[in-house]
Amino acid sequence: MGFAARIGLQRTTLVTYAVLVLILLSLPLYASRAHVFLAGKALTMAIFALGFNLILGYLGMVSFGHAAYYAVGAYTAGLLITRLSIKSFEIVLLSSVATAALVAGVIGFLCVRHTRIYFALLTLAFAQMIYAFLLKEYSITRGSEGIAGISKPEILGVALDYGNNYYYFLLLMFIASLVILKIIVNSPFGKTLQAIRENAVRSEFVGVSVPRYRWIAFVLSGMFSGLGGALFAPLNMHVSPELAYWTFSGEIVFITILGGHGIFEGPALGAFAFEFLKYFALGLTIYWLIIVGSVLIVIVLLFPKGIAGTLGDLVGKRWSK
Amino acid sequence: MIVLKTEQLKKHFGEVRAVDGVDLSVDKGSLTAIVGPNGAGKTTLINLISGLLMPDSGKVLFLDRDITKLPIHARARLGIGRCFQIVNLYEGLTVFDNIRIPLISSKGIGGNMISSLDAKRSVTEEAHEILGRFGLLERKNMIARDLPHGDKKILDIAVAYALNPAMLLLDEPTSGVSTFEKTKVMELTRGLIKGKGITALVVEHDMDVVSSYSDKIVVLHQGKVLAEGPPKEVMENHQVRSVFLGVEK
Repeated sequence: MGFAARIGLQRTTLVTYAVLVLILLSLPLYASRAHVFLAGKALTMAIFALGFNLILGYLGMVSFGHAAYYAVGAYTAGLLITRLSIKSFEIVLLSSVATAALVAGVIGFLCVRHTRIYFALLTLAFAQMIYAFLLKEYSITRGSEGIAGISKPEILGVALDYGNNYYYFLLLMFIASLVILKIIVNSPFGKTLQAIRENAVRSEFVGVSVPRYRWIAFVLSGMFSGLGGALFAPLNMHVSPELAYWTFSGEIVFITILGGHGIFEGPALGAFAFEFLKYFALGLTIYWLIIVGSVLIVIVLLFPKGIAGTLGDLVGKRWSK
Repeated sequence: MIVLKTEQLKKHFGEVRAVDGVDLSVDKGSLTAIVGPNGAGKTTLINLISGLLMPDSGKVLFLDRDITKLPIHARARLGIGRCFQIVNLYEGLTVFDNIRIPLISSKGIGGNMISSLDAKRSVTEEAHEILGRFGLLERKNMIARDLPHGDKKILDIAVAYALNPAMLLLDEPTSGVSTFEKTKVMELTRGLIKGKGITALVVEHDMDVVSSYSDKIVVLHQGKVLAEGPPKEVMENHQVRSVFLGVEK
C-alpha cells in the first residue's frame, strides 16, 4: 500500500490536494503582497482550525475557548523572539507548542469530565482568564499594547524575512500539519475518538477510558492551535490580547462550520474562505459583520455540511451518474 | 470455578429496594438466566455488576477480585462485556467500525496515533471473522442506524463479543425481536459463547427462551433471590409459579 493510501487518501483527493498546493505555491507570482499576507494568515488559521476540529468534528465537543491556545502560542513566540532575541525558529516553535500543550493540558484536564454546554462554558471561562492575564500582566505581556516588532526568525540557518520565504515556510508547516493530523484521524486512536463522539457510554463498556482520550485529544488540539499562533506572531509582527478573546474563539467555530466539520479538510477550506470573505466584506462596508453573519446563517440553514461537505456531495453525485 | 460472585449486594432508589441483598455465584462457562417480573431488579443487578451503578452496600467479585468500586471501562478491560436491552450502538458508524472499535480496545492499540487502522490486518481479519459468525458480513458497510431491528440486536451482542470477554452480560437480548427471530438470536448467542467458553448472565422475561437455553435460573422478586437452580427445578417451584407465572398456589 502506498503512503497516500495508507493515510486514507484516494486518487481524486490526491489530485485535488496537488492542484490546491500548486495554487498556493504559485500565489506570490501573481497576487499582491496584501493577498499573500492574507493567504499566510489563512494558513495559520487553517492549522488552528484543523487542530480545533479534532475536538469539534472527531470528538463531537464544542470548545468555546480555543483562541486561548492560539494566543499562548503567539505570545510565547513573540516573547522569545523579542525579549530573548532567539533567532532559531526551531526553538521558538518547539517552545510555543510545548507551552500551548502545557496550558491545554491543565485546562483540558479540568474541562473534559464535563460535556455539552458545561464543557463549552468551562473552556470559555478558562480562555477569558488567559485573556485577562494577557491584558493585565503588563510587565510580561505589555497589556493592551501587546508585543510589537516581532521579527521573522531563521529556520535551519535560512532567513525567513527574505522575499516570500516566510509564506513558503507557512505553506510547508500547513502541509506537515495536514499530513500529521490526517495520520492521527485514520489511526486506531482517531477511530476511538469517533467512537466516543458517537456513543460515549458504549465506549466505556468496551473498555475505553473516555475522559483520558478526551484529554489527550484536547492537548493535541491545543498543540496545533498553539503552532498556528506561533506561526502567526512573526507574520503579523505584532500580537495583542484580542487573540485570546472569546470573539476569536467564536471565529474558529465559525470557520470550522463554514468549511465543514464532518470532512477532514473542511476546516482548512473554511479558514481560507473566511479570511478572504472578511477581507472583501471589510472593503465593501463598515457593516462587514452583517455579511459574515448572513453567510453563517445561510450555511447553517441550507448547507449544514459546510463548503467541503456540500462540494463533496456535488462531486459524489456527478461521479455516481 | 466461580467467575462472578456478588455478596449481599444492595441498591435502593429512595423507598424502592431495587436490589436488596443479592448473593449470586456464576460458574465458569455456564449460561445463567435472571428472571423475574417487571421491577424485580434484574436490570439494576446487571448495572451493578457492569459498573453503570454503584451499590449502596455489598460486594462484586470477578475472578476473585473485588471490582465493586472499579469504573466501567476498567471492568470491561478485565473481561466483562455487556449488551443492552435498548440497542446501544455506534449508530452513525458502519457495522464494520462497530466491531473494529471493541477490537481496538481489546488489543490495547487505542493509543496508537501513527499507524493506519485500515492497514491493521489483525483487526480487519478478526472483524470479518466476527461479522461472519454473526451473519452480518454482507452488511458490513451499512451505517448501523440503517440496519433492521433484529440485526441491530445481533450487532449489539457482536460488539460485546468482539471485546473477547471472559463474561458476557446480556440484558434482554431478544427484546423487541419477533418470536421467530428470538430462537435465531438465542441459538446464535448460545452457540458462540459456549464455543468460546464464555460465561454468560442473561436477563430475560420470556420463560420459553429461558428454560430451553440456560443451565441455571435465578429468580428475582422485589430485589431478592426467590429461587435458583436448574430450569426444571425452578419452573416447578410453587413460590416461583405464584409470583412469576401468576399461577395460584
